[in-house]
Amino acid sequence: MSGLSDRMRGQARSIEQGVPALASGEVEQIGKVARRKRRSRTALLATGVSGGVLAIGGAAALLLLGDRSTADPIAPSPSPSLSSSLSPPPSPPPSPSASPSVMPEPTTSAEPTGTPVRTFEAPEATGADSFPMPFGDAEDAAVAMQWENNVGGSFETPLWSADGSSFVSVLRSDRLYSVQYRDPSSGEARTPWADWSTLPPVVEWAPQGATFALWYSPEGGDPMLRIYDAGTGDSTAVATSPSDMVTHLSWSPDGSLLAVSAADLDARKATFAIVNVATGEVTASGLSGDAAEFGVITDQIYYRSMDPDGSGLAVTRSDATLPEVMAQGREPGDSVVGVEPIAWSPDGQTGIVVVPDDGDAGALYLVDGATNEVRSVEGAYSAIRPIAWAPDSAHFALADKDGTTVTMFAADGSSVNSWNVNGVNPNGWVQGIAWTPDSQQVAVAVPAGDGDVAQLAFAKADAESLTVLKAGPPISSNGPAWSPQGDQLAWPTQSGSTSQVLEFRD
Amino acid sequence: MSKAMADPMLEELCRQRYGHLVALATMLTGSRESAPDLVQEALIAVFGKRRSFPSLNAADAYVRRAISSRFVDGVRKSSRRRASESGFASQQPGAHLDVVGDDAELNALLAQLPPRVRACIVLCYVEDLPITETARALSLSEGSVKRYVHDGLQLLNGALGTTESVDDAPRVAVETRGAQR
Repeated sequence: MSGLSDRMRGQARSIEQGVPALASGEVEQIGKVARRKRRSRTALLATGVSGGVLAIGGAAALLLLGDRSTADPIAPSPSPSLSSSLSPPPSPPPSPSASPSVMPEPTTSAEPTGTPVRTFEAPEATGADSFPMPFGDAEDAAVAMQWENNVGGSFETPLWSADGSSFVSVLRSDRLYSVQYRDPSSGEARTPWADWSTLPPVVEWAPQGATFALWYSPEGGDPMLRIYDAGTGDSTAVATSPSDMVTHLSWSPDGSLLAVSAADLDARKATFAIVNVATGEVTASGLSGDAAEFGVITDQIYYRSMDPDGSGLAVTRSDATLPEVMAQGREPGDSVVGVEPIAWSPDGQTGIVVVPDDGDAGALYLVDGATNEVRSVEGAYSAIRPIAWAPDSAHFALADKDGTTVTMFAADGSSVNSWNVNGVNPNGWVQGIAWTPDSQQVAVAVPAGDGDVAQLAFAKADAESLTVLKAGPPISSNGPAWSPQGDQLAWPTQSGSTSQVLEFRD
Repeated sequence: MSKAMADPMLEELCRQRYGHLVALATMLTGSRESAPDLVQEALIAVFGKRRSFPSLNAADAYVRRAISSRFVDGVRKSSRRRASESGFASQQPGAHLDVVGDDAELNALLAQLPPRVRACIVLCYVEDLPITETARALSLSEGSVKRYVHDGLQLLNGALGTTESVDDAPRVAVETRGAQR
């Protein structure tokens, strides 16, 4: 390789270092202008489309994958065949179970009742020689393996397979992405594609075994969606969507169907397709919001809508030809979109979704996995930071709207405790959340300093404050991930260019 | 209690990637002054269309694309304007030279490139886009992109002694070195 790329990239890096941070006032200003723009666009759309979730098309009408000649699904006047079976109610469905139950009396205090945001003293440093964890025996933790990349890229949080026999690491280098999956016992790595991806790849492990679906946009080629067997390395192509960016993949509980959500690169429309993994056949497709996704224990599919005129959290069954709205989280006219997919408890009983408000951070909604009842929980939470379920499904944790406080909830949505991370780092925020395998403690990655390096802090349900893990390699702000068996922890380390797998033994 | 907040994803993107985005815009424009404006325009364009993105990386991808395409749109508009004003349609490189980055030699050379040529070179060699994607991002034909890259490389290779060619894919193979402990 000649030096031109290197010099160009070196120049870009030196420019980057001289760029002053954007003041929060300026960010606010940009957000304001963008919101104004969205509103005027929304007003336009709302006059054209007969409201409701239901720009969702019939199976034959809109194929995300394959036929590119289909009509633009956002066309202002839906054809009768599209709208007839899908006429939306102009208001939330009358069934009590389907209407939102907003908590009646919002307290005037900024603090949720009974769960004061705690302040706490500077954490004590623990020993630096071993790798101490706040649970189990310090000596029991050992670095099983580590690796680093040669391109100065950073690893994202590893994703474990359901059976724990493999995990996927996505490496980001400037704006390109590379994917590897690795056997945690031998350390052997495989690369699905040798090429870099020019768009963020989407990886989703099947609910059983060690199969994953990967969408990838290789340089110079059309995007690909393939199913990989991590054990053998074999793969099969499912379909490609030449011009769309896949944003979300979701498996049906039995692993036979894959919901593929995509958006075009102008961010103007979003579509979904339900694909039979074995045959490649598209069983349903249409317009969606940001995501169409499966429940964990049933074969129900949840749609979230992107445009304010197509509001609601729509639910349908995968065998239905046409989706049918069974539950709506909010009034039509409000947008129900989540940046994060619905976070299902491991037992599938409860789904959590944070719906970004226009201007404020998100409102928290709970979806009952059995009845599809949607109800809201008081408070404003971060719509872009992860929601973490404890492995036993008893608790979940997420960050507040400022991203500086972690709140632990019981599965029914009642808050249990909360901790501000500014005691760990005065300028820090919540980046990654993970539970310890025994479901007893929540682990939070708090970026320290430049945001690349993070400290890992732990708290039990009744803890006064977070306990900081001082020793061990500095963790990247992308956060750690435990294996399903709970005996291994994979994390990207400082500046993300190294990843490690730590092993814990009984 | 409800303080006006920008979209969380916008905040996150600005907090984590703003410098990176401005660096791309600066490489494209060669101007320290107009780069932040270009980034701001792109942010407004992208976040004005939708507020929800599946990930920070996805939002980043949209904004980067918007920066590149808006830069070339601007070039198109200004060359049309020049054409109508003076009948002179050729794209002239920027008249004055901003000092950007540590590599003064490269900076001076890039400033000699016409804007579209510069954009193609930057997308291919900083953003690592292949010709096809560069063409898509800039709404140019592949043939034009090849020609622009070729023109740009002639100047850069000649001055820098590099041997890049249009067909050389500027790619790096990833190696991860693993170690068992």
